[in-house]
Amino acid sequence: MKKAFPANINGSIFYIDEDAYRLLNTYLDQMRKAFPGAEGEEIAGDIESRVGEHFTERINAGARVIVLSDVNTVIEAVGRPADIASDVEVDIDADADADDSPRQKPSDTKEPPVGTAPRGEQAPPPYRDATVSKRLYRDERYKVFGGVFAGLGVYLGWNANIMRVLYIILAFSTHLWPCTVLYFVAWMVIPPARTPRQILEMTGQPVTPGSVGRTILGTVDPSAAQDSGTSIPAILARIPAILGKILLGFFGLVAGCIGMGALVVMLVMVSALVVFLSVGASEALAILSAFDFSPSLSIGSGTIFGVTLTLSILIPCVALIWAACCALFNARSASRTTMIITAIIEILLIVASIVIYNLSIAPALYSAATAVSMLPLPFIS
Amino acid sequence: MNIENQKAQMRKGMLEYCVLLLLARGDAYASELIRGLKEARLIVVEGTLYPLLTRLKNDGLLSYRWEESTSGPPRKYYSLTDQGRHTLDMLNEAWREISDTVNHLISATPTTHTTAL
Repeated sequence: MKKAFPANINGSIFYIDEDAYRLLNTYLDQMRKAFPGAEGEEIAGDIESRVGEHFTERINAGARVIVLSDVNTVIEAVGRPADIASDVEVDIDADADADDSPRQKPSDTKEPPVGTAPRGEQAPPPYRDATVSKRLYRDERYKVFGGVFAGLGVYLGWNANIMRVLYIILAFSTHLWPCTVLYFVAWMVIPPARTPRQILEMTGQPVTPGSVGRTILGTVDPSAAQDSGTSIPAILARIPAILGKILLGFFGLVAGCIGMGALVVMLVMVSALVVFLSVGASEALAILSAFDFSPSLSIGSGTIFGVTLTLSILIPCVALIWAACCALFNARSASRTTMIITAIIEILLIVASIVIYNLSIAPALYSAATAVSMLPLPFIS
Repeated sequence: MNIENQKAQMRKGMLEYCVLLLLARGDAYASELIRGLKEARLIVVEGTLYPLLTRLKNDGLLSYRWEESTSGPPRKYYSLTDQGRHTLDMLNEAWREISDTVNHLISATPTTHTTAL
């Protein structure tokens, strides 16, 4: 005699033996672990519903209770996570190579077979060599706070704890906030490694269902992947590329500042021109004078000016750090809408700063400065 | 050369294409797709299909709707999207090229040679 109880499988009730239930539970748990993330939840749900369909067939065939052998038959038909993995797998040889020598990865240089086309979307661009195919993710498995340093440790092959200590020392020696801001930006920019594929990309191992299976079992060897990062020539080889990116970022900042200023000037000139053509010369002069020297009004306060100025400087800085992180680590970049909205806000802030400066602060400074004959020039004269 | 391995790889390469082909005939439940693929001996275990379907759905090649069923809970009813049809057209073309090449090679190979294998 066995104990049996009702179980809800995908919305249908089945009477199931206790040992059969335990086996099924373990099986579905394995499935859920094998396919993590939102995508995986869907897959595991589909598989559970398939199990339910099999049981319905079994009941329709005259069975009253689902017994252990039924569950075994279903598992045999639907497949264990490893079976599913090996069945989806196309390039078996690539996986075998990865087992023996993860450093060489000859499969990466080959043209991917037809069946791997959807996986190819995330393949590294052709100009990169196989050792740089790693991607930076936050490693939430070994996180202390957000997993930024755990991820960096895997990416660079350095010890995460040493980096954490160095970071804290650096943070305390630089008034805390720049490092804190940097950390939060990194947290926002770097995506977490949630799915097995992301974990494999993080550790720089080829994404095959076989290797995905090993992330499930927790046997992905981080040390194997770190080899490529720690060897001195590999680090040296990467330095010029990183320096180049930093330089590019710097030039980008300078060009961006000049461009932004030119854009503001252009906007003012165009609007003045439009007003001049449509309304009249005196109104156009009024617009220009709002950006120039106008001692009659004093509506803006120093606080508002401070806020707008600080924001208009901070936004490009954050954007630059973001862009640099995106370029350096292939992290996800901001959407086009976000960029456009940020640019509009930035321009508005600059315009506001200039208007407030010219309308209220410059006159005050001007009157004070004339006494010591130091004339602060308005931004745009 | 491991002939079983080679055959398995051939089948796996064709799997996505065949799923799209099955859906081009008409919308289908996952269980119907499984039956078709098992008959063609393209899959060994049924579970293989589900990661594939999810991936094809996320790539925008197919979509599903929930259909009530008389014998149980609602089930997913898969259909090709326009993008999926477009992809299928391209895959059809690719397959014609491949099969032409292979058939040409087969016909050009002396039969004594193939029997020697």
